[in-house]
Amino acid sequence: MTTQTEPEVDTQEILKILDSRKKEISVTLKSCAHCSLCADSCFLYRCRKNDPEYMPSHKVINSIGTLSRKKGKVTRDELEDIKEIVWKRCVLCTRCYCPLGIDIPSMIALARKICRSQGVVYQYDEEKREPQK
Amino acid sequence: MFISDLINGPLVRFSFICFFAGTLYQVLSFITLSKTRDRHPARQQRAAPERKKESDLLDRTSFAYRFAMFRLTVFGRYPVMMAVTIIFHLALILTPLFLFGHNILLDVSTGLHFPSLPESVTDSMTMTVLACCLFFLFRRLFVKRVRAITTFSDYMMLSIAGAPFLTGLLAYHHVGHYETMILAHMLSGEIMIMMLPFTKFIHMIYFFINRFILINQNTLGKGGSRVWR
Repeated sequence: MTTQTEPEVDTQEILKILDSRKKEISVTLKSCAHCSLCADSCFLYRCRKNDPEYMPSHKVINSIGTLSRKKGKVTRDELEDIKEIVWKRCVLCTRCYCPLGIDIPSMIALARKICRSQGVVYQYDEEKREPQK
Repeated sequence: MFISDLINGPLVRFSFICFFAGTLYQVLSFITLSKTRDRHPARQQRAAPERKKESDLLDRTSFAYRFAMFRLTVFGRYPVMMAVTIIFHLALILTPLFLFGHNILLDVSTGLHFPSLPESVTDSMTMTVLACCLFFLFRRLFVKRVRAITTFSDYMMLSIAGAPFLTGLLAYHHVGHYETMILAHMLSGEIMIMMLPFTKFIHMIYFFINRFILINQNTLGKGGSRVWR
């Protein structure tokens, strides 16, 4: 009997992608004043009873921010969490608005690229829908 | 006294060197890490020959329509926060520049003359900055969505921004020991100036780059001219 193990996370590959846009990521994370003025521009935030987890800034900080802070040294579980953020909490409609001009969708797209590079992708056909509250 | 001599002299020069060199570094690194690109496609479309417009059911010139549109902007959604943040940033930049005491010192040390505002005005502006800092603090503590993304560094940034104004106000009104207060005022101001280009205060530089030069969906003005490489 064989046990199926999760493949290791390729830190070097993540780091390579992060390094390709190092300054942009650094500027994004430093420029964000954590003002939360972007909140209302996200329709998902408004649909989900103003749940802060759906705020554009919250999504960037906890996806690309986590990857950058940990220099790509993330576990597969952490990548799964990031997957939830960048696919389930964001549809990349590009309507989010940052008063400081941060390009939020490009950062979410970059986080998706990193997840994809590790084979972590959202399986829409396996999605378990919960009843809408 | 060694510490007061350090704060009065070399540290002032060092902080300004840090500020100007850091700002230059940020601008140059942006230029080298970005490239020029044609104007924003949406703006180019706008310049294309006008097509025949279909009749519109909405009266887009009416006050009701314009007000409804305004309500959708960040000013319409968060009017209090936007008003406070604009007042805060204006007072934060203008107060030290037009403060009588600062300009006297500048005149004595370098011979440069700058216009000053009456002391009662700059005093009120200082209090405004501190009141705005308190507003931001309470917002960070009690508004759920702000609290969700607040970190220790946000409180630090707020303290660093407010400290020169608080100590300056206390020194001006001779509350506490004057010599200590004025040294604390100078030191906190120097720390703030040094940190400007390297910490979260960097939004002072990147606000203009992000909003007017970098091309993205929210670029203002002519739609930007550069993109990241």
